[in-house]
Amino acid sequence: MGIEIKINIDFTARQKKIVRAAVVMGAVIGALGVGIAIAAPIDTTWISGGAQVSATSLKSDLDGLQTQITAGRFVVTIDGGQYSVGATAYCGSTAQTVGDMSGLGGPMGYAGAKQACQNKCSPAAHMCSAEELTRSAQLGIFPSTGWYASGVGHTSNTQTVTDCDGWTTSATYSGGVYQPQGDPGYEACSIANPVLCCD
Amino acid sequence: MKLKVYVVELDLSSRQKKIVRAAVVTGAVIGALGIGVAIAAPIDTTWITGGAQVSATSLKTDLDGLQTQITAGRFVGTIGGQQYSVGATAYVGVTATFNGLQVGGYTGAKQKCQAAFMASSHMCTTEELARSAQTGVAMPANPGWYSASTRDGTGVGSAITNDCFGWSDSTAGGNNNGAIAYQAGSTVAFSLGTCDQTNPILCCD
Repeated sequence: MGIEIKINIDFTARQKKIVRAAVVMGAVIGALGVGIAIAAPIDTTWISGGAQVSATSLKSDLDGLQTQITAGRFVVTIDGGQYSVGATAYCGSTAQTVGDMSGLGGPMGYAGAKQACQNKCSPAAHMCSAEELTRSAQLGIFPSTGWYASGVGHTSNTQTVTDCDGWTTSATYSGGVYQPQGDPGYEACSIANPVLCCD
Repeated sequence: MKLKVYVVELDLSSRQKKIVRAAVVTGAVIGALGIGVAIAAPIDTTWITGGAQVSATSLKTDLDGLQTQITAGRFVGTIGGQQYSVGATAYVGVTATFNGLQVGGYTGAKQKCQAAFMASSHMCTTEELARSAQTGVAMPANPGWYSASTRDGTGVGSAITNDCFGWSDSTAGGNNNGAIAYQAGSTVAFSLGTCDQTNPILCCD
């Protein structure tokens, strides 16, 4: 059945060097133990036009692609900034801050929250959304109380919940907070809470 | 980019035939299950060994397999040793009925969906139900619990939705309520239910 294309598999000195580097890098990543499944992009620089293709390197790249797909967590770049999507979950909390994010030492707003989360977890980290905290809770991951991006605005009996006006105010309005055991709530923007980060 | 390749032989090895047979059987079983979820299986690269020639047919199968997974857009991540489907997930069905306490917290909700469907199944979120509704996936006619993960309302006497306090309360008419959704004619209705109600859990995958 079918026609086979066969490719020689001898390593060049350069390929051996790449493989050694990959092994060392993998060991380092494993040793870091950062708690996030990091599936690194594959390296195809070993393939060059007119040259033979190494079966071992080809297998390594195919396995690398499958590992990224199986992890289900992807880091995309939008306007130069990294953002993790897919199988993300709570990864840590920032310092305490009121609703305008002034306690984090960076800009106000969602951008300030993300910057602090990047410092806490990784460049792809960000303020958790309701969906990410639901996933975390279903997997038994329950952070302490903190701000999260509910992404909705509503007026209740006494409070207007607006993600603290896009995390720019500590004077009025309210923002979503997630509490232990996964109970979603909200608090006045004048109250200090850490930002819940996901990655 | 050009690869230097050449045709050498036409037959599959016995190992390759075995793999193809296994793939065909697995695909048939998955299709027969008819569970409504597009399962794109991981590829198998064990046929590639250092120093050996590479089969074009098997290589094509693997590349197609990777593309199929990406095109499906549904991925199963493993977090803390547990599977959870993300991406192009949607409503797949309901569990038995439970009140807000019997749901058993968020972890209990996932366990019940896993038991009813598959290891990566979980309680639906707002985003997943919105996607299901927009793609014409029919909900059950009777209400089912889902996770809104936001709180609305303030105190006694007002209607608060807070996932029945993290799916740990079964009080009737108290401070806590849970989000519910159901098929209402040609659309999907989103509302709230008191935590003493017994509703099935809406599961997504």
